[in-house]
Amino acid sequence: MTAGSAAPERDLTTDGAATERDMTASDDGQADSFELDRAAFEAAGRRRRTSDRVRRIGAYATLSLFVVISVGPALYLISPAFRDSVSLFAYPPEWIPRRPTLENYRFLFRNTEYIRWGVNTAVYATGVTLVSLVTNSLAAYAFARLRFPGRKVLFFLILSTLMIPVAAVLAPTYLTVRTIGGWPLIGDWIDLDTYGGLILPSAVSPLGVFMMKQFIETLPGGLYEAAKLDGASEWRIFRKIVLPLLKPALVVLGIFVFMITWASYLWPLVAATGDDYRVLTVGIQSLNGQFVTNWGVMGAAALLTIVPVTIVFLFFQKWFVQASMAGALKQ
Amino acid sequence: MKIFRSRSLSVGAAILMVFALVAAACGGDDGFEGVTLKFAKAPHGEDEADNMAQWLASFQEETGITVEHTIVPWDELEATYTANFAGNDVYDVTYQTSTHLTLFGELGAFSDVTSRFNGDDYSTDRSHFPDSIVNASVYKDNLYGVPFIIGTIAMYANLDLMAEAGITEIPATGEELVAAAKAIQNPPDVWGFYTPTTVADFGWYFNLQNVHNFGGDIVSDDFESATIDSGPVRNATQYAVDLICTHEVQPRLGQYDREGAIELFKAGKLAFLLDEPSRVAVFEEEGLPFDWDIAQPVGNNGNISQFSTTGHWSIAAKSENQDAAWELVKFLSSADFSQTYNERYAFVPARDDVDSTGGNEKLARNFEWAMTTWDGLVTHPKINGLLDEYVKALEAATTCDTPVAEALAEAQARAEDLLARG
Amino acid sequence: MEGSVAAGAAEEWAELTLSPRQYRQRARRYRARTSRRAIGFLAPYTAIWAVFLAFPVGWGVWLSFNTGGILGTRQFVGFENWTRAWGDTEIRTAVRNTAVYMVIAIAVVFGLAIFLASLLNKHRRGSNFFKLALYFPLLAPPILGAMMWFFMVHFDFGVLNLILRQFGGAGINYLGENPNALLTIVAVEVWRGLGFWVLFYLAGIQAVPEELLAAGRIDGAKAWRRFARITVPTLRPLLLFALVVAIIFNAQLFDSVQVLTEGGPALGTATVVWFIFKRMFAFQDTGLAFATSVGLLLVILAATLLSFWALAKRQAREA
Repeated sequence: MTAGSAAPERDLTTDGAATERDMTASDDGQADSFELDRAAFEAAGRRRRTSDRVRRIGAYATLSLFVVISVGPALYLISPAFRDSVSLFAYPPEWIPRRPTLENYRFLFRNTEYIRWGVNTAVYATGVTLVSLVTNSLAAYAFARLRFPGRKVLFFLILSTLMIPVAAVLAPTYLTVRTIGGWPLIGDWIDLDTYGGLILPSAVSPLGVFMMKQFIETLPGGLYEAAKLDGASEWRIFRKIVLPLLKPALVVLGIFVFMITWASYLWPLVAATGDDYRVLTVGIQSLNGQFVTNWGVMGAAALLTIVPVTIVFLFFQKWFVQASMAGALKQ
Repeated sequence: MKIFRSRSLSVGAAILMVFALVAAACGGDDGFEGVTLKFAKAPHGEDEADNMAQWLASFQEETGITVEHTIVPWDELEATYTANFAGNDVYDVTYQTSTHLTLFGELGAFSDVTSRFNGDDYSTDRSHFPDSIVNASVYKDNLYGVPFIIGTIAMYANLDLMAEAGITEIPATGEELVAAAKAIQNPPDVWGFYTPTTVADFGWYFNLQNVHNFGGDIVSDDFESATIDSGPVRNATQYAVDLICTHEVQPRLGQYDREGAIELFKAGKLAFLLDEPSRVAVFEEEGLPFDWDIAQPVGNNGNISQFSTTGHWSIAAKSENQDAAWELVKFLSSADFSQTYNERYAFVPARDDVDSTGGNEKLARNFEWAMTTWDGLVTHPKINGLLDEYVKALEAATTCDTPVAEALAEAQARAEDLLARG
Repeated sequence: MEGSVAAGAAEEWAELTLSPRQYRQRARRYRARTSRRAIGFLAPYTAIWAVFLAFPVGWGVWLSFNTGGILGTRQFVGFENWTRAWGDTEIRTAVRNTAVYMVIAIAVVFGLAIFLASLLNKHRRGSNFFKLALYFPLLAPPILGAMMWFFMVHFDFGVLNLILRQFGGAGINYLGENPNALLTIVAVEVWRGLGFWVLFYLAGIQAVPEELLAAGRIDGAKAWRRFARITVPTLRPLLLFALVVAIIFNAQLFDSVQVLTEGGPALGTATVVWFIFKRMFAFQDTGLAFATSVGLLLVILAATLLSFWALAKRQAREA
């Protein structure tokens, strides 16, 4: 009796680890619980424990395989990054550099503008992030808490541009920046080959507005109402009450925007045509071409670029994962 | 000197000229002090940034002009130049090949240098540019850049591999090449032949000489009609396809790209390779572990021609320093600079008073071929589009999936559309 | 005391009982005041959005009826670009490639992601490590990710072929044959997106009420039937939304094509964005590029609206 009823009970506690064979076992257990003798049950239990173990091993083996696939290509970069290109063709293949060399890195720092690209990328991505955080949270506050005519229409208009790809508006955006660049004063700050011209068109995504609006709407309304009754101005309420509560959402949005921006390629390619404002993605791709193809240097550059992000990622992993979900799940 | 009536007059004129030149030079000094020129070029070697800095030092010192040099990669060149030339702060001087010279030029990106190029103060230099080269760069009486180099093609041959197979002469005809390549190759360890046929590797550049050798071209001389789907082009393309798909002496498409094939040759695993002579200096510097030589690409029925594009120095129409830019163009087009540049990158200078072979016997021969059998690309705003249609057909056919006739017919139709458009 | 309160209340009441005219006036004033306040908050974002996104979208539509405009003078040509785009053989190839790519990539990445998510849901020990590792490819920009894969799929020194040759194989031509090249691009994009979708579906699966699954278990439903009957239906509203988002992202495929294949071989990996890029810059055929851009824009806009509809449906269901 006790033995018979134990089977289904156990099933409930194993948290989804049950298997097809478990099910047959527990079927037996339920149907024939009274007739089931102790030996048969123990055999079933053993069978299940073994099959559990096999399944678990299978599951972890599968997961590990995908981990190797995910991380492998980046890890392998260590090999070509510290070898000369010629040794790539060596047979049998040279997995571990026989004569490790820093030549690729020497080339990267001496013959290319790698550091400049890195600085530009940092300025670009940070700039877009800051502009997005400030403008998005302000606009989101207005959409979430203020009532004004045309609110719904404006919000829908903005939201409908949520997914517009850079490629589809590349030329008109370029022409817009060029036009503004020709104007007096403002043209000194917003033009092609300026940080302003690089940053502002990349800070247009309404995703942040949408995300922050959703977030602000979940904040308790009581605080807000109380502050309002005290006669605090909207600006003061935003700064003193809403902003501190927004911090976690701002971190998530910031990481998301930063990651999207530093990975972008098409806009920086046309918005910055000289080394002064060229970013890493464009710069590294320029190492991959006629007369200059040097796979060792390409590997070295790719590795060097991915390492700092990985370190930051490991420190702030939780935020990163939330940030990537922010785009989809928060909706 | 007939125009001068007496000797003393001519002497006087000479003295005056010297004065004028000195004055002009001094005036230039004062006029350009503090000017900054932006200069961009797609590279011919990974050391080009370093070399340019060194080579431009004397120019900057003499004129007081500061030159900011940017490397524009070949793959990103079109997007970068389009964005730059349409922008508010343009590259004053750029390097442009025949394919893009009038494409950008006719859209108003470049200044017409005809009057400067044919001007009195440039006449001495002008006389050293052969008319045949200059004429290929003129479109509707406009010259959008001063010709600098013509890039030719050479066939690199691994003499050790040839000797092992008992072949003593570098093949000179298509049939000989196939026979030799077949005798030598032992894939995948040793391949017989390689020439790029893809869009990404500018496959047209390496195959058009063959089209010409078969007696055809992709467009009529007057650019009125496309001739991609014609007998000679079919035959030439079929030859390229057969090397890969029938004779199997060349690796399949995608196994090696252009730079990959260079590495293959350097490793002694490729018998014959078509590439620009610019690799001669690289190979000699690295010291390949086998004997090698260069020859002219094989011909057909005794036809052997040297196809090439021309590289030019162009001045942006929007440049605010047209005169300073012209000074830089003059410097870059000078015999001295041409010699320095081509001693390193082994192109054939577009002027006849430069010996850039530096005593290198291989390059001297290459120079000779260019002088005798040159058959360069004529510039045209639509030539880049036409070449693209041809190379897409070539790439499709050399995948061995698409019949040559089918690929060329499609390219022909698209090329006709292109020519019909205004 | 009481009297004064009552008097105060009466005063307030008097103030609140306004004539219709007064009421409209006050309401207008109130709305104007809140609108003024709202403008301060809205202005920074809306200005940037209007100048650098909304205006370019409109300009793009206008440009699609013109030629020139970047370099060279702009010229109005009516619907010529559109008829040309419609009849262009290369753009048909590009649309077909993009569609084939999307179908395969989304099917594979969703299948794998749901599978891995259910594994991670069952086997929680160490699942954080697995999640992080699967997420890792998203850290690299697409350009870099494709470059890493260059070292994997190169015919001669690519890791995959080196391994194959260790076992006596000849090596696969990943980038030089069709349909290999497109499938390689699919693999690279699946590799990059997998971590994201695993986390996405994991969150969805974990939202499936445990009691439902447990009930299924007690009923003796087999694992795969439990999955098909309980987990998948719960994921379905999520699935529609995910599908639309995936379509929007994948329709823009460009970076890995630029690094790995440059559209080849024989246009086998030429995508819509690749086509736009080439026409716009390499051949200065801006008219065709503008029309194609707007076409892409319309498709994406339609997909975006569809995703809103899917979301609204999901929220309605949840409520």
